[in-house]
Amino acid sequence: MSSLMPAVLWTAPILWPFLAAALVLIVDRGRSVLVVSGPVPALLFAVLGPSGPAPELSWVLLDLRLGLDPTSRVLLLTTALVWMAAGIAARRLTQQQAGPGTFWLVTLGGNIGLVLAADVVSLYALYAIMTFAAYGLIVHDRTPATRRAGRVYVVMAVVGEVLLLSGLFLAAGAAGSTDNGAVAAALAEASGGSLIIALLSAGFAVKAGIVPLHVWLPLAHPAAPVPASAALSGAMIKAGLVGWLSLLPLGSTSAPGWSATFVGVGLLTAFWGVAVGLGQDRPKVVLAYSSISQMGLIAVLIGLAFASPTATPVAVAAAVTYALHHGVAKGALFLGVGVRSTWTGPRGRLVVLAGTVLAGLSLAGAPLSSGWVAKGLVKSSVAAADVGWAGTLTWLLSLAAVGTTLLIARLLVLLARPIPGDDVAARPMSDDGVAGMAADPLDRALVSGWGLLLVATLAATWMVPARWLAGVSRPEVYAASLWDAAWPVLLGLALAGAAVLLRRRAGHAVVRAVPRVPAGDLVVLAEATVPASSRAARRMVVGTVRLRDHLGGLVARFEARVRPGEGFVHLDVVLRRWQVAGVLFVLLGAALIAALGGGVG
Amino acid sequence: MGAGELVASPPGASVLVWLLATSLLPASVIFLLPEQAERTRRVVNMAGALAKVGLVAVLVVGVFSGREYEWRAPFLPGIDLVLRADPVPLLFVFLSALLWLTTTIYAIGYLREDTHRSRFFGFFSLCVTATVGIALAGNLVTLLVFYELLTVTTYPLIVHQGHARARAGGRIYLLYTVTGGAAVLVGTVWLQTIAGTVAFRETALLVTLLPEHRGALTAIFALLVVGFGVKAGIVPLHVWLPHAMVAPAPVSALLHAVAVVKAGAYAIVRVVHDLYGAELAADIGVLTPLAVAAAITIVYGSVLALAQQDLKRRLAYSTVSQLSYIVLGVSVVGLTSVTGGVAHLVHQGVMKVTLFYCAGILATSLGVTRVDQLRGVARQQPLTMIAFTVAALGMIGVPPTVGFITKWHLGLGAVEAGQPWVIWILVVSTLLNAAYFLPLIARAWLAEPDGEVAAWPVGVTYPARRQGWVRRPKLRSEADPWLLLPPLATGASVLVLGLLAGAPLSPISWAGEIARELLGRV
Amino acid sequence: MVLALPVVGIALTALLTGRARVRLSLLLAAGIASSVLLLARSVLADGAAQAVSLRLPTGVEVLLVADGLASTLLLMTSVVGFAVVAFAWAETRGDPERAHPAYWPLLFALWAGLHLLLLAGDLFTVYLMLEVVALCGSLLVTLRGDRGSVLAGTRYFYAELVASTTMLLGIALVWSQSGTVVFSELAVALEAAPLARLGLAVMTIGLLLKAPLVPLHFWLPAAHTLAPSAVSPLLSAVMVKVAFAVLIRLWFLAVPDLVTTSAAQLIGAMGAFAILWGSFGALLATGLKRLVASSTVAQVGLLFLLVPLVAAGSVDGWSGGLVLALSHAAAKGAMLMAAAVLVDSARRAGAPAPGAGDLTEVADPDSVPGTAATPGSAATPGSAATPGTAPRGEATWPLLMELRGSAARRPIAMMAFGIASISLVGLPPSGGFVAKWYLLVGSITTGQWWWVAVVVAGTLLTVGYLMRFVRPAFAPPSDDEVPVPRRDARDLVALALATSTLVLGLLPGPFLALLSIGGPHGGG
Repeated sequence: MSSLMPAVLWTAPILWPFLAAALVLIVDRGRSVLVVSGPVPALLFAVLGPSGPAPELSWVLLDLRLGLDPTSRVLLLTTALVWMAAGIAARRLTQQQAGPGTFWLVTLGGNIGLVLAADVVSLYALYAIMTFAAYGLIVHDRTPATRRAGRVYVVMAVVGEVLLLSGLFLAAGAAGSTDNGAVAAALAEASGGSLIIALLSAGFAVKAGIVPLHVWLPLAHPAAPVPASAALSGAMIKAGLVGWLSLLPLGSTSAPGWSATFVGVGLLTAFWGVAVGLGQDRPKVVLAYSSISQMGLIAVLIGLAFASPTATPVAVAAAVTYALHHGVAKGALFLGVGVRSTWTGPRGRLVVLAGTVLAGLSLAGAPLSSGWVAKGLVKSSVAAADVGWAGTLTWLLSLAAVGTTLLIARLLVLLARPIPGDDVAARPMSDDGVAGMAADPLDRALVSGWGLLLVATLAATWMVPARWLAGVSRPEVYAASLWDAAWPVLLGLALAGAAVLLRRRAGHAVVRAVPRVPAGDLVVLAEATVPASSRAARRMVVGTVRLRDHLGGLVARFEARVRPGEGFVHLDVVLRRWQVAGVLFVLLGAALIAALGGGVG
Repeated sequence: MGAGELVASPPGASVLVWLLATSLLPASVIFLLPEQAERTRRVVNMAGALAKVGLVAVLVVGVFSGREYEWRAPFLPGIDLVLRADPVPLLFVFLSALLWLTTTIYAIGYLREDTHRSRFFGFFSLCVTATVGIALAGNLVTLLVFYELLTVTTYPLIVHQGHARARAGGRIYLLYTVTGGAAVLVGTVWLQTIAGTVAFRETALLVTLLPEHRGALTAIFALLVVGFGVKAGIVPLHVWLPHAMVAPAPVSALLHAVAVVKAGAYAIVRVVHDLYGAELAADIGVLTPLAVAAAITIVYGSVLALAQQDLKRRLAYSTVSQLSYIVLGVSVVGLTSVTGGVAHLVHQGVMKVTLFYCAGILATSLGVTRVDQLRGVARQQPLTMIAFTVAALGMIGVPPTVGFITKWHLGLGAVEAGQPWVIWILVVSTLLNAAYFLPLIARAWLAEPDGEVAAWPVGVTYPARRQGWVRRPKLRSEADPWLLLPPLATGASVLVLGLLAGAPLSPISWAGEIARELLGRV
Repeated sequence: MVLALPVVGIALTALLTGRARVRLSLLLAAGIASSVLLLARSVLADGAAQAVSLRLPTGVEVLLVADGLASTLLLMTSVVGFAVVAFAWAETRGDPERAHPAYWPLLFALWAGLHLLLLAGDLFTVYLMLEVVALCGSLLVTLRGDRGSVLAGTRYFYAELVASTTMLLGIALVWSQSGTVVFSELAVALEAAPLARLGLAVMTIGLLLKAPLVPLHFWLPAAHTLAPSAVSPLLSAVMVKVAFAVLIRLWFLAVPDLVTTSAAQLIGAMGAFAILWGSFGALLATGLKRLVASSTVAQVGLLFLLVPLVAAGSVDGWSGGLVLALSHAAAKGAMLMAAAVLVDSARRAGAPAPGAGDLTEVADPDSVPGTAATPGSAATPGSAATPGTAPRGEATWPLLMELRGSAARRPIAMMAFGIASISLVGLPPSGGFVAKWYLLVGSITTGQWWWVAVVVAGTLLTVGYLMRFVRPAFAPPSDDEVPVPRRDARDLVALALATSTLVLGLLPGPFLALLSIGGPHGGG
């Protein structure tokens, strides 16, 4: 039949990972191959696949609909690429046991699926699948630390799901359809629109790690094994962006209120990430915070898209480009941390540092790096959204770039430290357990994955946006002049250098002066209140239980009531005495006679 | 003269009668079997169960090809015993037949060393007969007859183990349900006296009565709902439910999935939509109170579940809250929400039956009955715990399980019906469900098993045999297949039914047809 | 025929001995039952009462009327009677001489008396037969011969005596007023009779004492508790109904015009009171048979709810009451038989062979654990009721707790008990349900809501007190005994009798048709 072929074509990218997950459970050889093969159909589809809406698959979920437009195509590419590289790197993790591979592929399937989903039900469904499967990756090595991370992650995830679900109920109700486009359109003029937008934005913001919903991220991403962290921070974190792009009413009207909100929160997030991240001394935690700050910048772009319909296309283009570039760069950086711990010795150390510098510069948007292209698009979208505070915004964004550079510098410092296995006198790197893989021998798979992402870092943004994103002209792409791309990086490097020098001189005094915020900043405060809140919760529950007992007691009281006890017995005995009975007999007779109208008839 | 009626009634009728007979005959045979006749009993049981499934299949095909099935025999002058295969009953019969099959398999494995197996399986089959009767009942009297029959035949199952707690539970159960039955009886008689009929799908007639009997109709509705609400576990009539937990696991499973509690919910569905009809019910303004009661029950049940340390009791309270999803769905009148409510009849069934199967397995093979003993059981029995996990996630409403499908329809339906407050109920219930299920799952999979593990028996262990490059999953110390297969099957259905929700014969689309028909009719 | 067979029975069973007697009794019982069945069929067929005038050799003419009421209750009597005979047969298998020699003749005499009483067309015959029945009944009670039962029997007899004399007084009054005692003529004759109501009242009170309706139930518990287990079914199931039958015949068929609402309500109120009283008694009972007896008191009360309903002109009430009579008869009979079996097995727990029932218990009344503890306070029958201080007679009935594990020992008997309970509670599909249905319909249609409340309360209380037995029954046996499921003919008899209530519940059609023939407010 003719309709079958396209259906297979469209579902393959989603279906294959789940299929592979099932296979991983049964087979006991070639697991790692399956894991790598997971994103391949998606990758092919992103490059070669057709655009536009897919044939409906009414049987699946509540008639599943898929679709692909230029923006989501870029996001699909990002997701598939990062997952694939990470998959290659994850060889050691996945080849021994079935568990990690399964969770890996299911998470991946969900992540790819939600990019392709064109109706809210399947979007939410795949989103949730991804979320809960990722838990399996996070808690992989079952140390107390990871368990804590997992707990925080699940709590925040459930909160996000609930926000999202309630928002979707209202949205779909308002739209009268489950189609993404219809929902977005309906939100523009729906009466309760702003509540719905708030719910949806917040729901997705949890995954995107926007302050203050980010608390799970600095715990969860480092907790996972290195390749998993790369995938989470590079690809999965973008699920929030996907949600925003597909459901928020961008480009229909100008919503200054929402624009301001997103920009404000985004900037807060960007600087928060830098501020807290600088205080960390575990490479992966530093990277996690850098992810947070980068997602903040993406949120700013969403804000710009809200600003005015004219700004929307370029802002969206900027957002996805930024997503792509951050995805590959951050993936590379995470894998780099892993490589550092497996490729020991001065040479390895050198290579890793070099790679990190490369990816880091690009992340900071140094001239001619892929980040530079993203920067360019950002600049032009700021321009397009002609808001009063455009100038300030540009300035602040550059400042954020400075922050990014500083974070990278911090990372370099940490990576430069000797670790066991280096011939240098060993000072153990902090408990940055790179799980599943011993420090030696060299993990070639990991290194090759890393290499792949580094290449992507250099190449991706040069080719993709201008070619794929409709309505984005080259000047817009290359709007950022060398200088305004360069100075933040230089400034950042200068500051970093200064800091290092200062430290050399003044020693630990400075170190102590630097404020140290524990990883997962706010959650620590929250956890402090746990005893009190749990006590409150318990009190509530106990109260309800009391109520229950009260209700249950009705039964007991029923019994009690039908036990008038001895009194009744004695009365019965008395009643059955001859004399009593006789008297009653006569009395009743009289009563009857009376009742029957007596003898007088 | 019953025979005479049989001949008189349409050919399809015999199917309905046989549907009852397939569990009635086994029951009567089994009662006469000596205790030792294990094999015979097994054969009879399975034969009955399979035959019933087959008949249901026939029925489904017939109805969807537009055939009418009805059987009636005179009961009281002017009142017949009527069995009809309408869409709603069909769905419920379908569920009971399938779950009876799995539960029978499970029970055979579960009661290997038990005494009084003849008694158990006899009443077990009777119980199912009553359930099918309730499902097919074509008027209120028939429903009532089988409803009471169910009450009676369940009692011996609940007290089966005979110890003091079992008997106390049984007593509370009887007191509550018989009281409920009395309420239903009075309501039925009253309706009969004012309306002259208690047949379902006669809503038009009742509407004509509305002007002079508004008060009476309201009172009758209250009586019926309270009566059925006892079995449906609507707060505060739910008290018996946690006590009935002392029953053996197969019974709890059947009790919570199809038989008793579901019968109550189902009866409420029929009263609201087949007896009164949505318009009339809304007109006399009884739906909102019902919805509110359901909402309260949902939250209350979940909170209490949170407080339970005994695994089965926790499940019991979660049943209390889950059942009210059904009631909520049908009392928030709107195509989508009614669809969700009706479909949840099936969805809650498969999920809960799985959970109870697993709880039973854990209790028998590992002696795990409290939630704090769950530490690391997943390493002992991964397959069991996979089934448990899937079902539990379904209860929370995680996609793509059936639980999510229900929740989606309820929420969306609430918005469509202009009652968005329901959404917040769903939100709270989701959070609570997560709060009392996720820790269990995490504990089972991640926590280190503590000292008791030494005491854990090594169950049936299969060697990890290679067959080509595909290998059998290793059953570490899983329970024996009779016990293991049912939860795996139902657990899988929790996923599959959710994934293929859009498929033509899936519960949800089936329920959609039903809802359309119910609301289409005045 | 219906009358002849029992009479023959009396003679033959008196003469014959041994196996032959038992066999013959079975045969006769079957004959009687079938003849009654034929009668009922013919009545149902031509849908009208059949009257025969029987001329005795002495020249007295006795009018026999088989209307709906009569034939329904005849049916009841003969079914239960047959069951009792079968039970007795099963009990005395192996050693036919176990039974007391006077048992069989008395049984048939009682039976004949009942039939004639039900068929009798005039008050005088009714009176005579009441005497006969009372005599046989009390004798049967005393059969066991131990002190307790003799006392109970005499007590029973005195009560009956008082009742019938009162009855006679009433009859005399009526006769003096109307000059006739034939039911069919009373209505006309009493048109203008001033003292007619007085007479009616006097008769009624007599009948209420016979029934007995609380608070005139003083004689019932002891008598029913102490009678042999092959007799008490007859007492509890049938005897209590006959007075009731006469009463309603008198009130609603003979002289419906004399009935006043207030009187009807009074009787209804007494009925309601009886329900509560009896149920409480049952809830507090410590012995199984006492529980059953008290429940009889309650059920009789329920029976009398018919009066206010019919008086308010509801035919449903009539059907309800009579169906209740039928189903209660079957259920209570079965329940008593099952109880006897269960108790028996509880006593012989672990013994190799199930032995005979307590027709032979006379030998060792102290065979039960706990009997020794109870003082023989049977000396004053008045205290025969006090739980705890059970007289020796009652003590042969163990306490409820001693019946643990009955369900495991005698599944069939337990099943019979269960079905009977279902019918007593009034759950479908049983005669009890049909009865309850019509009582409710009656009270709702006549707008007498308080009776609805009473019926519901009765239902719940019934569940309550039956649970008191069912709960221990499902418990595992107390000591280290391993219960072996047993059954013998008695279980099956009990089960069959119990099942008959299900028949009544599933196909009530013909019965409803039958009992409405010649009923109140037209219908023949």
